[in-house]
Amino acid sequence: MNIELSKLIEALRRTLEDNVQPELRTDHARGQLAAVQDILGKLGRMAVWSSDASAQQARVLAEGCADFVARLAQAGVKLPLPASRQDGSPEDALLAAEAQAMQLTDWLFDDGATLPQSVHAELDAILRQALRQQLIIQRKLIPLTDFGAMTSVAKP
Amino acid sequence: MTDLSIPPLALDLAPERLGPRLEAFLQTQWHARVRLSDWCRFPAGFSWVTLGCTVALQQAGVERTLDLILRIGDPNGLLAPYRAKPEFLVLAALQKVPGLPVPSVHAYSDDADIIGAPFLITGRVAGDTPMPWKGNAEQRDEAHNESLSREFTDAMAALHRVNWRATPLGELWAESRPETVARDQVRHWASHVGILGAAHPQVPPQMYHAMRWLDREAPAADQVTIVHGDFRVGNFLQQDGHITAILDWELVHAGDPLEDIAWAGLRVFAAGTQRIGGLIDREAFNRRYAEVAGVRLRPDVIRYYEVLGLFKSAAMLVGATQRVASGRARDVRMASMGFQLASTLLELNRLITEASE
Repeated sequence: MNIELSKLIEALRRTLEDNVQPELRTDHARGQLAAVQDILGKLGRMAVWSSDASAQQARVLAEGCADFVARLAQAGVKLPLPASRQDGSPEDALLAAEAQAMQLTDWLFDDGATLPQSVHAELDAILRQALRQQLIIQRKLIPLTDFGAMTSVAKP
Repeated sequence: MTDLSIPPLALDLAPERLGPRLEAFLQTQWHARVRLSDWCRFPAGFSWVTLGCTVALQQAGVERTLDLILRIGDPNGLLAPYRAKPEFLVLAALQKVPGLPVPSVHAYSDDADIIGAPFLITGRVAGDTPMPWKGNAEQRDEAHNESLSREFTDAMAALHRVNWRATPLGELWAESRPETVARDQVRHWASHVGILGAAHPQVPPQMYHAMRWLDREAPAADQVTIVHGDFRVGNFLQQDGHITAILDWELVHAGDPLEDIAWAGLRVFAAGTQRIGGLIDREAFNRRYAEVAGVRLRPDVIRYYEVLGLFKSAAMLVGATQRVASGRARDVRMASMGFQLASTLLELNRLITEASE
């Protein structure tokens, strides 16, 4: 999820205020909603995404990029890879690793197009594997969404 | 210096304000007295706002009523900015195509000065919407599922057989070429999330990798047809086992007909089954579609368009997240969509890997 948590929570509060509050019919329901909005407002200042997950994602991407460059070196091509950041926050490290993966993607599809087919395929597989591992870490954090409940009309 | 420019009209969905604006527009269009009433809003769909209303028309001393659907392209909507003209022209061109039921179409405007957003007015069609969720097909009579499967296939085939160049769409899509239609779609969705030619793309790297892969692998089409763009179980109405209307034409464009086939068959719409949309047997679909449409089914191209379909899904999810982050989202379901991105990109990764082996 590449959105600041505080912005996500603000969007939730805005929806409750604009789309739900005007439709409420009882004082009790309005009171409940006000409490939910209050809690969301407080959480918005306190909660952050999991730094552990960011650090794990940064690591698998950085390792994949390093494997990519090492395999390329075996094929006789020296590709200077911008150093990944180890000093900043896990979020900074993740952004840097993502940028690095996209740079290598560009290199593979542009300059790398002249490589022997087998080497090109191997490099692409290394990259895809790193991207896959990043996504698996993200998905582990997220329960399934019930879009059916969001689009169905209420039963009479 | 004094700013004399007129601020754009804000979209307001309250019937007491939306109604009079629309009545004034329709009176000019139809040269009749118009009164709108019985407003309701439908929760289905994540993009255009869909409202229902009844219009009382008084023309030459005769009064009649019609049930209408008003689709509004909210400037803050999922796929904004919107244009109603393509959908209007397509629906107008398809009014009498055998085997392809579509809603009647009454009016449209892309002028934001009318109600504050583009809009399209169609007739309301009776029926309910089978959804591609688990267990949905099992709740219906088997004979109904069979007739729905057959009519779904025939409707797609009928759409792809339309000679659109002989309609006003020929002018709208004059630039479409078999060699470029696939890449046009890649660029459209890459632009939607701001990564086309971006120096520092702000998307997950899997998304960026997919864009480069799709651009490199883009196939030439055997033919350029009308492509619905969202032709699937969940986007048609049915009554007693018969399709009463194919809906949601907002993504319509000129393209490769295999794009519609790949999209309809995506695993994400299969409700955990091997069937298209959890409803239609794939082999039966392929046989009947090829026979009726006269289109060559090319498995490698269909696989390409499956990847493009997931790229498109991911672009919508990223776009939704971007709107939430910028404070432009009016619908909180957009925030919920953002949480689907990882699983969509994982499936994209799987399909590219399969296609690369």
